Amino acid sequence: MVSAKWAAWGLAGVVALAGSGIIAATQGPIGRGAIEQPIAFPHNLHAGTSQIPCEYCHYSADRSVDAGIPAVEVCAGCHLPGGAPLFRGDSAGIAALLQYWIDRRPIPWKRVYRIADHAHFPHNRHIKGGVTCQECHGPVEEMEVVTLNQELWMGWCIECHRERQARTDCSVCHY
Amino acid sequence: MSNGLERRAFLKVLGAGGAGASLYGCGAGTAAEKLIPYVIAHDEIVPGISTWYRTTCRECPAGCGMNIRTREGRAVKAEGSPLSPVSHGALCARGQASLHGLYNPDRIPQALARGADGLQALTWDEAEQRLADALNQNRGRSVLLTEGLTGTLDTLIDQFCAAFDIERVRFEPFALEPVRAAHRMLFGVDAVPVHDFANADVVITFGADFMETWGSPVHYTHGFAQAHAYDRGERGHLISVTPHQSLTDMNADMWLAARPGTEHLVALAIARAIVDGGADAGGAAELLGTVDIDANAQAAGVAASRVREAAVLFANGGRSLAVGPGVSTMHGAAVGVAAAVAILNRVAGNIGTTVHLNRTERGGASAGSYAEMRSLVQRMSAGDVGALLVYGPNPLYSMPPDDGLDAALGNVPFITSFSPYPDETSERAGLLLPDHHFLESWGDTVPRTGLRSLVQPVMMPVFNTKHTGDVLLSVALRANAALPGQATTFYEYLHETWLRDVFPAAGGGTSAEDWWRETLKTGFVADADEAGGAADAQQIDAAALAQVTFDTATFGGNASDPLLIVYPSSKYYDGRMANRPWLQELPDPISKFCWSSWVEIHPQMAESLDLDTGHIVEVSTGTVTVTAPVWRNPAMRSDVIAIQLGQGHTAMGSYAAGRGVNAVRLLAATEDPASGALVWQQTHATLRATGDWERPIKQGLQDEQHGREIARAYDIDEARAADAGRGLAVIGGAGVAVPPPAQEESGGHHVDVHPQDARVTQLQGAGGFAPVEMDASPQGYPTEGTWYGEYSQEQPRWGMAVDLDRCTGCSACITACYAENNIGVVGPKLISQGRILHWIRLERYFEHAEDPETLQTRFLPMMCQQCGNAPCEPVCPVYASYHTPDGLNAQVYNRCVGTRYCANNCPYKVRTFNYFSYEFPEPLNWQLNPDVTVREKGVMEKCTFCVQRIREAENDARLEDRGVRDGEIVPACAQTCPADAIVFGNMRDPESRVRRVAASGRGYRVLEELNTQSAVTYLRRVASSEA
Repeated sequence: MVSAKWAAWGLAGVVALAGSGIIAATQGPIGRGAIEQPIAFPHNLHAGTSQIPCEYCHYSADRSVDAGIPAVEVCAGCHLPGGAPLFRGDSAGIAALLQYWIDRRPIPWKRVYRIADHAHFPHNRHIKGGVTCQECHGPVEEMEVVTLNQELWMGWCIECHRERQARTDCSVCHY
Repeated sequence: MSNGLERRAFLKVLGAGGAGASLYGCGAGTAAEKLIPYVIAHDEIVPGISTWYRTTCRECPAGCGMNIRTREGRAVKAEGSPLSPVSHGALCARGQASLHGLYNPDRIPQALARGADGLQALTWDEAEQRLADALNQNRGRSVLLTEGLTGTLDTLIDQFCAAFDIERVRFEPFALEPVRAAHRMLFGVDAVPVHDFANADVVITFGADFMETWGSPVHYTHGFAQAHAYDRGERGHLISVTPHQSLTDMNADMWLAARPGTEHLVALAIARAIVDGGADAGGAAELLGTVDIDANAQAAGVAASRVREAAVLFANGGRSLAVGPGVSTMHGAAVGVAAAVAILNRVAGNIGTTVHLNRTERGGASAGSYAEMRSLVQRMSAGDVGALLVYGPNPLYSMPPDDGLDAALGNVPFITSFSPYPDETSERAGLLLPDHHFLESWGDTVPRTGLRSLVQPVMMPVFNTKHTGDVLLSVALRANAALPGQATTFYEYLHETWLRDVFPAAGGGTSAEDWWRETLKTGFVADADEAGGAADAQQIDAAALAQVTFDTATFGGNASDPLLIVYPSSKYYDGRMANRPWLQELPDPISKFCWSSWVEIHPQMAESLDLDTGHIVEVSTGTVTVTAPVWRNPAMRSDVIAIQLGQGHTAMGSYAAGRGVNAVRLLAATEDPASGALVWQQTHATLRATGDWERPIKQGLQDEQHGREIARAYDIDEARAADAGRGLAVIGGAGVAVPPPAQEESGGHHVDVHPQDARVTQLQGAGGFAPVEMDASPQGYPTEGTWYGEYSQEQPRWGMAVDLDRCTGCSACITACYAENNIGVVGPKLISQGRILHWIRLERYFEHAEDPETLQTRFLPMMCQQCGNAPCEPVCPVYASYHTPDGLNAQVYNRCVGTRYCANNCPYKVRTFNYFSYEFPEPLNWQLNPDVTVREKGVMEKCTFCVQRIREAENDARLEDRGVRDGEIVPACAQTCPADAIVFGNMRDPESRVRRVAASGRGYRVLEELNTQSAVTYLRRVASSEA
């Protein structure tokens, strides 16, 4: 009996993965592990040590539903003003940045947080409501590599909405 | 299950599997998923925020001003520009479907050469060189065939033709040559005059389908609705004189079903009656003196009393306007009809008031004629044309087969097509130089005299196409042919032209570049002529009038056979729009057929031949036979049959391929010598039943209400009585008459109870114990003290009011809804099975169908009624269909498991089910609205009142620390309505426009007796008592 149940759980796992399309991915879900990014961008150095505000790079977080991924131009603006590498200019990361910039290629960042297509999360409205970036994304200013702080479950969203007496009606997010 | 796992445990496990799926789906992406930033951020793009561009629609010659919504650099929605004096903020279904032209998967992706072994890709350099070489070799023997262009590209093409010694020929299938000919002869104006429908209380149309294709349909519909719709006790009249009703005629208050070929006799009889009443004949006295009203009425097969009635209305009903003929009434006597219409306008005093001869459609630019095209065919047949360049028209589709064009094209050694899409004509071209879609192009157009409208690109080209203006400039450069000016790109040419020709008069003191930028934002420049200008010619040239023959038209074929009427399609125009999936999917406003052609037969004839809708018949004229299903249509004479134009393409891409029949193929190459037009109404046709029946590809099967009172009407006295004492006023530009803002009343929200509506009682709460008496108004639900889910009195109640006296049935709202809400295109097979997904359907009901004198067509847009007491909600086992605190019936796609109980329980039948996952083949998927979830199979869906727009407006309001303003939220259907028939807003706000419109005495709710407490109030259509 017990073994049959476990077998079924395994089956369910396969069904779940197939259903979400994840089974096709080579490395499987990221979960909470560290993700190797094309450039090892240390958030702790930028947002922590150097105190660069999150919205300097994630420029549309307070005015759009999307937080925005910085254009390569934004990186180059600080690190390659006039072409010469600055701020740890001798590091491998800056060398890679220089190459992307010279080639005029975008940096293919890997996604850490993903909200399902059937849920709508406006960043701007949450910032307006006084939610800090860290409440969802964790202490990014302390992370050398950004990892998933929090699975984006609906229950977790609802918990916060209840605490703040925000609307918990389905159609606020699902439409 | 054999090893002990019980069914229940298995289901539990599967459930957990589902949760696992959503866990990974929501929580984290995959290692494969990338976030690709810009290299250099675009100034105008903020991810997640829409950028709007102003441009001008080029899908038909009308030139409606447009606002295009782009997201992340992709156009996702087309809307009318509220500033535009052509579109007035609205668009027709074709304008909405312009995005399906832009992202059409069948577009020609790059420059191509057609060789012995098929198509071969060319670089643009190679392609332009080939064109330059061919033009150099064929100087004096080349022809550039264009549509009826206006504006800067028209000028450039003229200069290009001069530089290369190319002959220019223009061809538009719907060029309305008889209207131009009549005004040329009678008034010396060789053009279609500007018609002012907004100031015409009485309109009489002789086959002019001005709500569909004739002239400027959105502009005219907007004006017509303003002047015609019931407003403070008054209402206009539309009289229609035609053997077969188009959508325009279906909106008529009076239909004179004149015998084909006799419309001018009716027009002259009305003119005579007006002159008899003392009006100035204005140069037509001699002609009108010979007109015998009774004889003309008899010849037209119409009761003389009704002709006189129409004359009284036309003369005394206020400002009037006569229009016609249109394509469907262009028979051998079409110039006579057009001249009679002009005379009617003259004797009714309309010249200079509702008909402007000094201002003309398209600024008087020539649209060519069928005769010019035929002469080109003859020269091609004779081998006089060495190179043919085609920009725009598709004559191989639009001309009758015995014109000989097919063979003539074989005599032209070098054919180039600039068409962005494959079509019958470009199929014969050896060199394909695909133009940009207009949403990728610079350009301008002259919709009418005094108005210039700008076209600007809203996104980067989807394919490797090139603007034809750029190609011409580049070819001229290669061939060392001098064109005036310095421009090397069409943008420079356009900019130069505008700064030289338009800026000096319109600039008004600003710098040229500032003015140019501001003009791009406005989208158009209107000069003083647009407002009035020089006085109109007033007198009819009596000598020229004597040249016009007013004989009854004669027709070919056997007179005992039904006469064949072909008429333009409001969806496909002349056929150019046939490859748009949204338009193929859109139920035709008249017949409700989709994806096919049909033969319209009057029920009387159908009875005698024992035919019903869906029976397959053969229609033959001469040697050509076409086969199509029957549709029984009461809105036509019983001695004619009708087929719509626009379908039956053989080479236009996958969506148009094999769909229906091309009615032009039934016509013979017959030219009207008086105007040079193709005679569209020319012959009797034989009709033969094949005995087969196929399930019609059609929305619904009911053309009558069967007493259900879904689409209701008042006569005008009832409407006046119902409105009595309401102190009606007009708010907004729409001119919907509404009561003034409610005075603050004691005790909450209950105001404006309709006097004719009895109070209804409902059972308290879902449990249903004590009956509670309550208001029969959307804002009166739920009654205080009752409860309904989270529904609270503090929240808004979103509601809608639809004025059925404004709705023309044009169906633009349906296509707008498809565009906004990512609705899947299911295709013909599933539509015939009743699985169409449209969230709004346009009900079209015939009343008194047995008698042509009293026949009335009623339209009713039916979308989710967002019931307060919704039957769909309690039957959902998974809470996917539920009531939101702001009074919407939400449908949560990710909860839905597809039981379809909700659809079964919906009395309005507005819920649609995804039986399959429908495809948005690349690049059509680029159009998807990022704010709306794309549904997949197994999910129920329905109208949401565009909840994404509600949430966006709420969001914006919250960000600015304010409430949502009335009118800030406009659902896609209301936004695009050319007649401004739909109003949306908060029913709980006594000041809101929707609340005040819904309080009209004409208001009612469909199936109110079911106590669904719907949020949509319909305003009854009004029948003019005089008609």
